[in-house]
Amino acid sequence: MLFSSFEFLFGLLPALLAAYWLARNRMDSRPAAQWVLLAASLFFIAAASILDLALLLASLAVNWLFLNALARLSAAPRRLLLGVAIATNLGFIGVFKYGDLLIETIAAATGLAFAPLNLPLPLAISFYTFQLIALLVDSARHNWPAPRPKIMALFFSFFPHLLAGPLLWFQEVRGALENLRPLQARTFVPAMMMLSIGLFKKAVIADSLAVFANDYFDRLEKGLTPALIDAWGGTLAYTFQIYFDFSGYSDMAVGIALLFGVALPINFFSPYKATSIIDFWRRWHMTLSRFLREYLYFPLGGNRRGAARRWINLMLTMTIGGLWHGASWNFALWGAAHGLLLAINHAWRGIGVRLPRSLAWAATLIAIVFCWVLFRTQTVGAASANFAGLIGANGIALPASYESLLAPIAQALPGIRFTHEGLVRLPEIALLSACAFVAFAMPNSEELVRRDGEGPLLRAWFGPAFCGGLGALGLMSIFEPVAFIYFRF
Amino acid sequence: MAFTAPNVGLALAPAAKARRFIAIWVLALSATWLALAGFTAFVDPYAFLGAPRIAGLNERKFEMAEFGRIAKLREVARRRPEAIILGNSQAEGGLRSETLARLSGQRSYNLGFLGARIEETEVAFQHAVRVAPLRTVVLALDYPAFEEAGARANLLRARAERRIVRELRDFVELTLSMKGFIAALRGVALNMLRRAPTHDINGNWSVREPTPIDDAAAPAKVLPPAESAYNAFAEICRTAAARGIDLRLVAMPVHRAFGLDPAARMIWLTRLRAIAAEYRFAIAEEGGDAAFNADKRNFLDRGHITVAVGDAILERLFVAASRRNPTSIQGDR
Repeated sequence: MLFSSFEFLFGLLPALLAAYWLARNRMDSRPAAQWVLLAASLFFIAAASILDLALLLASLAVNWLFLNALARLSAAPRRLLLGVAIATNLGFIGVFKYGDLLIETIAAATGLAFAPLNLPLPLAISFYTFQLIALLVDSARHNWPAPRPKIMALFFSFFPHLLAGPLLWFQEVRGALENLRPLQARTFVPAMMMLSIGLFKKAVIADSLAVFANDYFDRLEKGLTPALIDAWGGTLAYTFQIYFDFSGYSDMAVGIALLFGVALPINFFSPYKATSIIDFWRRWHMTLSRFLREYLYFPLGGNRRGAARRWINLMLTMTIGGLWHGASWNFALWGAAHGLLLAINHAWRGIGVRLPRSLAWAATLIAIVFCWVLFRTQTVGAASANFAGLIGANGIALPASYESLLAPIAQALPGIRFTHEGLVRLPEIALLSACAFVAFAMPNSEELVRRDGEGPLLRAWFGPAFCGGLGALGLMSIFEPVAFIYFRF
Repeated sequence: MAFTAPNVGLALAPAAKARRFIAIWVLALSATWLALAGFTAFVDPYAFLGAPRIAGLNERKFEMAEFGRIAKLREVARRRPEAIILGNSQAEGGLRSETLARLSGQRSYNLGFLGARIEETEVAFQHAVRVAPLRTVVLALDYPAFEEAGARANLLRARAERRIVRELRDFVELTLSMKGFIAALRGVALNMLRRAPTHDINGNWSVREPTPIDDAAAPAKVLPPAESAYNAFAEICRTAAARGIDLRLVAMPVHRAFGLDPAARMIWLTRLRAIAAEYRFAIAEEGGDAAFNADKRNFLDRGHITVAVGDAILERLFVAASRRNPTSIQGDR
């Protein structure tokens, strides 16, 4: 069940709000409110698959036992048990998510035939496994007592952040979950604003882009040789799609959690305004960046063992971070490319030369766009064809329907041809331009709905009116929902 | 490292404004939705609501290719024709309701559907029987239309019977949705530009792009006829006979390059003839000979006849043939 679906927005969410209001506002019972939220979260998972629910509960049960044991042990055996617990979690995700990739890779390398496991990918496995490992590590580090089972189950199954994050630390929302607040108008306003903005980004912008981007990349996998404009059009469509899709969904998650008084951290802060790759990773999927830093980069040694080791650590962290997105080598390649860019970025900083801001922004954006090709394409052939198109190696082609209009330009510039195959026409250009304006020039959701109550949308009547309009457009667009890109990551 | 911890804090609206802000938010959301849906309803791009047609604004409907089935069911109920054409795209694009009107002297409408299976055609026929004073029906029989329809027939039945849940879902999807609104905007723009829609007001698929026929192309993938399809055909014949409807049946030709197995087609046609004969109907056949089927001038593409051939078929059905004992028009061009 997606947040941008009819069943959720007109079914589960209103029913949950009513039940929560009854439990928390009317009966004034925190435990009852917790049970209501837990039941709704478990139903949310079960609606996808009972097996997903069973696997999550099994994983939670095993980890709760580990947490109990960790709390009772002294330092040395605790470290040993922590290693076992982490290995168990990695084994769990390894079998379900990476088992087939490993088998296929070994089969390809050795020429031997192995049967794939063909196991279904459990819902949100990457998200909750990461968060469980973080909780195990922090519990062992700080000698925390094991959390209460109900609160632990509520935290990990809490549906607003279950599917696609933000990736949370248990401690950062534990208090909010233990002391659930009554529904109140003061939190409702920014919550509905975030929900409206997120729904608009996901259902109106990202889903419109998906039609174009999917068509382009499907053709690419079937052997399309894209010319310059098509290659840029298709790749930019995906560049914007993944941003609006993921950040829209994250905004919705923040808004929905806020309805119940739970403040989630933001996940995106205008990433395409970044002026360096380092800056980009401070703005893109921020909670994942935080986890990679705390539980991978620092334990590997971070930047404390010299420049060479820092670069290796960066490459390793980002490659594993890439692989976290999906069991396919193209994700690892995407992560490695970002690791390399981060290393170059650090080296560049070491030199001390500063590019003009606009040039730095353009160079960063182009690098990011090129990396998305690795993320989106499935085969080396498709990626190569796209890169060739992006640098103009396949020539420049314009839609044949514009031939009469653009003939003078074509005559002046040799190498331009007209074709019936062209994908980028005026509607696509208009859509991409609008997306570029929003991504590059507009304030982001966090800036619009500032959490201290000082955001421009919270100051005057225009704010709720604007968000109401966006919400209406979003609601009108949910009848044919396009699957959320991160849905099965 | 490049990473930073995100800001965490609880968003709060100014207390005094909160309730007013919620009211404004609800009002803006409702007003926006209502305004856009109102515009969509006024334009009625799918001919779903039967809104008045205004020349240059919403007279022509441009979404018939996707939602023609709904619109046509509604149109039949509104126009109450005495004669209809039934079938799949062969009927919708090849046979003209104007020609039928001229030949039969009755108000006519083309109730063919793109890609229709015979089970859907049966639903459309039963619907037309219920809502219109039917006297004459031309049913184009096309081999690919005898694949099993599955859920499609049930969907069309729910729409024909205007079941409340289906009706609500269609209303929401076609009127309250962004898709409906964009279709309405597009409809107004194309009406103002005087563009021709894919379907004319009489239900004919009128703007069709010819596709060059490639003799070397791989044969079309067509599944063998389903038993449920034969049953649906029998039901059409039974209802027509019981109601005294003049049912004219014609087996439609396809180009040789379509790759239809002549033996399979013959088995299919023999079975249909046997069923039709039970109710004292006969099936005319156009283009059974090799020369006709090989002549590309007769076809718009390898699976569809031209309008000229369609007109000739109707002429022969009504002029040269009688209902109960039609002359075979095989090879008679």
